[in-house]
Amino acid sequence: MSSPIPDPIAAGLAAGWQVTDASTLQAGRTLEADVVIIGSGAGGGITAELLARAGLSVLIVEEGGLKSSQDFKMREADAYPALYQESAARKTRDKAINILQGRTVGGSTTVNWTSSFRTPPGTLAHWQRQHGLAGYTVAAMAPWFALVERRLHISDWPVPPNENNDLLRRGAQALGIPTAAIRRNVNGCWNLGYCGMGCPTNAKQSMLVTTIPAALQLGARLLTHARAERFVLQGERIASLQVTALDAAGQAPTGIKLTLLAKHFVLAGGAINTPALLLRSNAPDPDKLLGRRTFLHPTVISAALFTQRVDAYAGAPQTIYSDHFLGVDPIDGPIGYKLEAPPLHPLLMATTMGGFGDQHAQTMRMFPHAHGLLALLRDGFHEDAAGGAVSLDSHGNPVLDYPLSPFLWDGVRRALLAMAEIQFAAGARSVYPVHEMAHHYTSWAQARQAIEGLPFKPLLARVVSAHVMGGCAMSDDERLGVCDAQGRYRGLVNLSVHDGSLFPTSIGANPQLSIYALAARLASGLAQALTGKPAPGFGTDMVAPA
Amino acid sequence: MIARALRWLMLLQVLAALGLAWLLWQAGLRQAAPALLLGVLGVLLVRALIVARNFWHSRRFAGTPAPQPLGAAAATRLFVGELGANLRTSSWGMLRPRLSVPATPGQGAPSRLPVLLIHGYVCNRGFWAPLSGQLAQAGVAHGAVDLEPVNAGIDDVLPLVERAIAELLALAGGEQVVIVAHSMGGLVARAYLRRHGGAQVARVITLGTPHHGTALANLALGSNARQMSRPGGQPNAWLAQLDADEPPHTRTLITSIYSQHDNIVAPQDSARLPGARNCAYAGLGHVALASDPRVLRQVLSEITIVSEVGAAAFASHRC
Repeated sequence: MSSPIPDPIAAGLAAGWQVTDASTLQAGRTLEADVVIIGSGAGGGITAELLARAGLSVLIVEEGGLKSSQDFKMREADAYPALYQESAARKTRDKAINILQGRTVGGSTTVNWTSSFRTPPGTLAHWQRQHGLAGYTVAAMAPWFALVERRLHISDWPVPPNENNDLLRRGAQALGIPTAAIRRNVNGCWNLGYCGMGCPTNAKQSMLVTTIPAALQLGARLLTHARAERFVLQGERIASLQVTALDAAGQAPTGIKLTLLAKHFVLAGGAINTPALLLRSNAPDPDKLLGRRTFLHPTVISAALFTQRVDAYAGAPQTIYSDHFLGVDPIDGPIGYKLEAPPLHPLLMATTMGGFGDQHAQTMRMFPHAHGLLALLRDGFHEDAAGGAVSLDSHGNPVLDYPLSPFLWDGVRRALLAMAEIQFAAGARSVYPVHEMAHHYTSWAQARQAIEGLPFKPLLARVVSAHVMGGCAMSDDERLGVCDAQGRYRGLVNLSVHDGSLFPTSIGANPQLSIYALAARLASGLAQALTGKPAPGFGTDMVAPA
Repeated sequence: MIARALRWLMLLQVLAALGLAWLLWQAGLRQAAPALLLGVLGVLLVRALIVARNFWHSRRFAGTPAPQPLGAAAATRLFVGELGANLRTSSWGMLRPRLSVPATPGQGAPSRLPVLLIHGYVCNRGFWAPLSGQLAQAGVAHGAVDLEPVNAGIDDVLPLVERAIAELLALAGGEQVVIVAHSMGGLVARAYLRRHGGAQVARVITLGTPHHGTALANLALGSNARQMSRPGGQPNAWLAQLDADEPPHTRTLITSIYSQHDNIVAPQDSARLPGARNCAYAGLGHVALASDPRVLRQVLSEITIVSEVGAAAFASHRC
């Protein structure tokens, strides 16, 4: 039986959207647009709709393929290779951190867990104080947040949390630790819990089903399986963008090359690929800032087993959080962390959990009873948490070197302690801090003693990340950022950066909403600069009559 | 009653057109066809002015954010489309209030849930002619209520809804219906859920329902109009109570389809119901919502989804 769920992408393609799958091209070609946007994720998607609405001809270049609800079968084994960078196994140079990052039309927004937070006021204040961003006040950003929240249906989630999230709430409550509800970018969500594999019902308001279709409906063009290789520079201008076509699997180049010409280029490839493209292009970088200060929210995990079923795979993946441990110390003091619950699916859980053989199998046998907590460490606010650096390997591919300092490990230890205590307070039978030398501990006293004694080194404690930020920082001060506060790249008059790589620190919260609002602000400014007219804003969910 | 009133109104309009033609005849236009044509056009002009006045009024109370601006062509389509929909419903469909019947009752799509149609303020089941035709074609069993008396309070018509659901389930079998409601009918459906719960309702789809009231109801007559009003620019006490009484899981049962350019619901955002599935269209009038092909396609697909996948899919935490 075919799905009764209408696929808006299939319908749009049938109606004549201008989408070219570069893997099918037999010969190279030259394409031209007012604006070429590299990347179709949070930054590129928002920018594409706003510029298309301003009447500009827009060409979007995406390395991934165009997959939509009819392809999203709630199966990890299909989803990770098809929708993620490096099959969801992208790693830092020393392999100590695993990075989940989308690589498909819609970018990470197609596969994220829908958690929507405005940039915390403390983060914005720090940017004003330390990073030369006077214009980024809470009041100045509020209308941009309101705009994108409306466009993407970001609102309170009315359904009670699943057990995985509710255990965070109950455990924290027992300890007097405040928690709150996470807002989500969903419209008519079925509460399935498979957001990370692509929303099968089109309820998640990712770029894939909102801004990209709106832009395509307005005549924008989309080029998929197309890797932005390098800019050809002519003095202070980008003359063209060289693009390599990839095969249908999105892996190997087909040998076909494309040349893209535009009045203006917007780079929105995410905080690893954006600086990498600029490095490959030898973009001006007099202060050697490019690719530096790349942040990840290094994330550690605590797994627990409960007597009752937790079924952490079912239901909205993230609905409860606690910012308590972000506020214990000053923002630039010992590193703080945000607590959330990750959804657990068999493949991701099996590869993330430590241990081997019997011990690992034993944990997996308890899968329905497993509970997960994660702590996102807020990097970038202290000199000992200066993030990582993107560089290029001999093939020109990006490599992120992210050293884990003792300052970070101190935060890891505190986070594992806090999570274990919360899980025991919620009634856990055992807690396993995800670390190669840890075990399932059966009491808080035992866990505390063990965690205090664990050695914290790369590849021992499991560190993961789903948030890449920084590397092309914006600042009013040219010594602090390669981009100005309008996202314009210094030294190249026709290039803007519109993605999370602009952030001068990590956000201290899941970054999608921060990127949406920033991109809306920057794209509106860019639309005005390019057309001489005020940007028109967004349209409706449903496409306007033809 | 509405049908009879509308028939009288139709007669009045015919007489007015004839009268106008007669005046033109007297004034020297001694050709029957042009005189009659101008007479009819005169009546149409009055109808158009009424619709134009609604657009003007709804625009005045549009609130923020302002509706997306429309180009001249889209604005013309909006107006002409709404005028056409008005004429078709109030001068034809509702004069002969009947529903289409599936060709082979109970056989076309036995898996589909039956659909109950609830019309809006001062209408009858004849309003649903376009959707009823499509439902019949798709083999979906459906029924409708006629909300009378026309000025009755919203809670006072709930027994009609209760009876209609029972009759529909008796006819079509099954345990649940899908409610599709236009305008005030959406508030009737929510008031029904407040009183009776969702045991017999798998999903509620509202079209152009002023969930937070409409400024245009401030000028209308009847208890029901008062319950849709916005005194001082805020939802009245009845709406506020309905909002407060509604548990979050009920909201997950509702899809609100509306137009950013509605000419009766103002502010247009009033149709946006937090926690529900909200779908905004551009360039459609209030009455035109119920006959626009894209809207009807969406309504049919939502009915199909909820029928095939089950109500639980939309709200797996129904309490």
